[in-house]
Amino acid sequence: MEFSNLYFLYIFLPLTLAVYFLIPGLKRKNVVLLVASLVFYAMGQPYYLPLLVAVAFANFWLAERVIPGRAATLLLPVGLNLVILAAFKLLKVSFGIALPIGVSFYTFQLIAYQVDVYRKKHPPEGSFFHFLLYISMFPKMLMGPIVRYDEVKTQLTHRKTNPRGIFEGAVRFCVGLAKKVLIADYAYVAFTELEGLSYGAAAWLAALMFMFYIYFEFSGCADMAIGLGRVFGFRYAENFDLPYTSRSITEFWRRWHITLGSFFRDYVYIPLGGNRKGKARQILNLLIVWALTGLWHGANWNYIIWGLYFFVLLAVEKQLMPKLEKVPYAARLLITMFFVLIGWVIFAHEDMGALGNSLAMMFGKGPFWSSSVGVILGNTVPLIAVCLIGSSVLPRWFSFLWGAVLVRGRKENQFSFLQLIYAISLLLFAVLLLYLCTASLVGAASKPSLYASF
Amino acid sequence: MKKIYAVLGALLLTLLLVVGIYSLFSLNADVKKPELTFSGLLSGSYASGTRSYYAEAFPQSESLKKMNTSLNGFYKFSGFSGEDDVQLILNMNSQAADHGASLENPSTAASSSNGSDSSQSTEPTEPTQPETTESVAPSDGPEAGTVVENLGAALLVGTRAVEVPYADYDSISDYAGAVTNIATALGSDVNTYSIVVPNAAEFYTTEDYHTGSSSQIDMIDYCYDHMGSNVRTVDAYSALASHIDEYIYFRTDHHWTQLGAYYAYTAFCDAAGLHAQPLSSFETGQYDSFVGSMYNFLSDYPQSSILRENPDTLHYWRPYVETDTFYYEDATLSLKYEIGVISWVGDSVSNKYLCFLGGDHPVTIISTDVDGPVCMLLKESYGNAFAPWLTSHYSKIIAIDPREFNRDGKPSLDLKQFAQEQGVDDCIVLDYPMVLNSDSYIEWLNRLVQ
Repeated sequence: MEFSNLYFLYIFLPLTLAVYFLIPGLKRKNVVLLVASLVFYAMGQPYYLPLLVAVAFANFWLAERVIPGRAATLLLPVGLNLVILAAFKLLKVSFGIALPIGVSFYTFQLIAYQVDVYRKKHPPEGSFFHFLLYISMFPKMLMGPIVRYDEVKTQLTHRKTNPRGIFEGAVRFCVGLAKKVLIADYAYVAFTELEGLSYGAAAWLAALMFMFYIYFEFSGCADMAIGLGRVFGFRYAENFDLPYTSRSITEFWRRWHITLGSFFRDYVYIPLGGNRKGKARQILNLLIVWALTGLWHGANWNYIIWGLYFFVLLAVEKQLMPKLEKVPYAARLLITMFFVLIGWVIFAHEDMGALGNSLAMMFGKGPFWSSSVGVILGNTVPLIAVCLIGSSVLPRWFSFLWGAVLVRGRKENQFSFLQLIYAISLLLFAVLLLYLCTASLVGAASKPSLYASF
Repeated sequence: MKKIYAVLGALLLTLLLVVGIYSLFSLNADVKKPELTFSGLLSGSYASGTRSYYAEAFPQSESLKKMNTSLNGFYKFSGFSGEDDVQLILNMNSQAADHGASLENPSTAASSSNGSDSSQSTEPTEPTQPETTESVAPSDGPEAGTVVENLGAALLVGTRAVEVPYADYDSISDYAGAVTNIATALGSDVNTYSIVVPNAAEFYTTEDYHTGSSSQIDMIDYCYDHMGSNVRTVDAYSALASHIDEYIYFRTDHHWTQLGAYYAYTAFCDAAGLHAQPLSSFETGQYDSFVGSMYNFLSDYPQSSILRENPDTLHYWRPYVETDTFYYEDATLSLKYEIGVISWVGDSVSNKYLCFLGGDHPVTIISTDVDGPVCMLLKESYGNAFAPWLTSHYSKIIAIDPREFNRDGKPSLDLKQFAQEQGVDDCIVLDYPMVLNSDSYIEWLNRLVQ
């Protein structure tokens, strides 16, 4: 079940929240959250629910048998999760069998969990109930972020109701919903409209719309997950940090899908030796990491090429970094976004023929301009403006400024008129976004989220 | 402040709850609920059906509709429309090919019969429940499980909206193959004709929208070139092209007018060696204030108001021969429903194009008092305005909609056997360019003879 869905918004979510907050005691609240999460999962793919529970149980059982310092004991639990992930990715590509919802995210969370037990970062969880709750929690189930066990282990058993956190989480959810429904969905429509045209300019514009679509789609879903997590008292790691303001590819990957990048850093790159075993080994390690990053997105050639494309870019950038640092900010931003955009063209086309055709059109094949492209460009100007502003640093500046003027320095437990204005302004903002999203969702069924199939 | 945050959070939750409860009591009763089955529960289709049902039945206040239109207007800005006056371009998907429109009246006109015994021929025939069965092609949502194909774009240009096809020459070649397969299956005793008719985009847009990958003449030529020698191709394009200053296409609807169909009919007569009857032989009439499918497709965009403010007029020409017309739900012809070649459509029916054969039905049979051969017309809705012209030449015209057979939940049809049973002499396959790109439609054509 998608978050950007009227049934979720007005039936599932309020019902879950009402029961959750009305029932006293954390233990009971956890029961409500677990039941809601399993129902949420079953409303998408009931046939994969036993798999989720079985995988969680297997990992719970195996983790108790992982002996820190004995790598052999780690092979089975890590191998099991890798096999499940790889098998379903291959089944999808080969036979079109649907991926279990969230499998890419929960298998990575489980691998991190097992390795952290091995590394003595935390002991194995003693309660299967808490373990299943951690794995299946619905706010993060669909599209992450990849939440590590040690980030939430304390919150599973000791979290306090924080009215401000709940409120701000709800507002964050509405912002994420608006990013998905009011921007990403429209950008996707524009992308598909432009994809149908055989002109160079249309191909460039389509790539730009896809670039915006995937950012607002994915970061919107992360905002919804993080916001809902806060409503239930959990703090999930941030997954995006204004990636389209990056001035280098390295910086872009520090800001894009942060929890995936940190997973590969901590559980693949560093264990392989990172940069500690010489230049050649470091390059090999990077190659492995980026091939795996591509594969994680799908067992299709375009994703592998996409991963390797970034490997090459990062390797070259590393060599050129001293020179690049002298290039003015705006130029570095533009250069970085150019390469990121080309990367999204690769990512957007699973069909290699279509990928080749798009790239060829962008770089000179066939006519460049037509009046139909002009009309669509004219039609799309407000959307492009919204996307540019929305992915820039401006909303964050405004939010900081607004919060700084009204809230900073004031204690939460002390009444302040300015803080009241701040809170009411947030409420009105959230209600406005909800209203606009409802209007849009009523007007047209929202498209499935791209990352829901990963 | 903690209390204030708690109150505001509770307000937000209450809002969601209130809307949720209100919506459950105000769901649109016309939307069909999903059926609860064990297999549906296990496969997840019941849950996804429930979500779709809820979204469709969600109470749509005027304010929400207006806001959605405003959002669409904002995101489809028309302030920069240039010299060619194109204001809007939108993607079109296969809904146009998949969903026909019908003007059914089974409750009042049904009569159980196995034969073709005629009842009185009264034209126009008045349907009694048009408002509940009216469905306009491009505005309908795709059914669950329907493959949505990108067939082209909708263009709002001046006071006209048109469909611009994006040619997929592999599909066009497959379409030509499908028609050839039909001709082969029917055998040499049946003359098979292919009529691919251009739509309005070919004649009423600036060059950009009917050249290159959107050139319909190129699509038609390519299609005809790839057909077998057992298919006789009809040059309807030239016949229409020489009359573009006449009212041969609607402006607010994706169809041609009956006058447009007439010029294609004259081209068909040339190919079939028939003598086309002059227009003056037919009694004519008109329906005013026709705002058609293209308006419906674009109605969520504020720019579409120009179509509503400039409606079409539908002119019809009734056959001068005696006709009995029935439609059937399947090829067994066991249940028949009376309809007119030209039906009466009241003011409450906005889709006046439904007057032709009462819209799309699996099988429609027109029996005439002409002592002539039998014709089978395989068609999508473009064929509905064409069929009336054939009444002057054939004793029986059997119109078949390929979309209504041999797929999920639809009856089966073995076209070869059916044609033999009906004594078919001529078979006409008539389509417009949007379906040439539709792999689904081509598949349904092929399944008729598989």
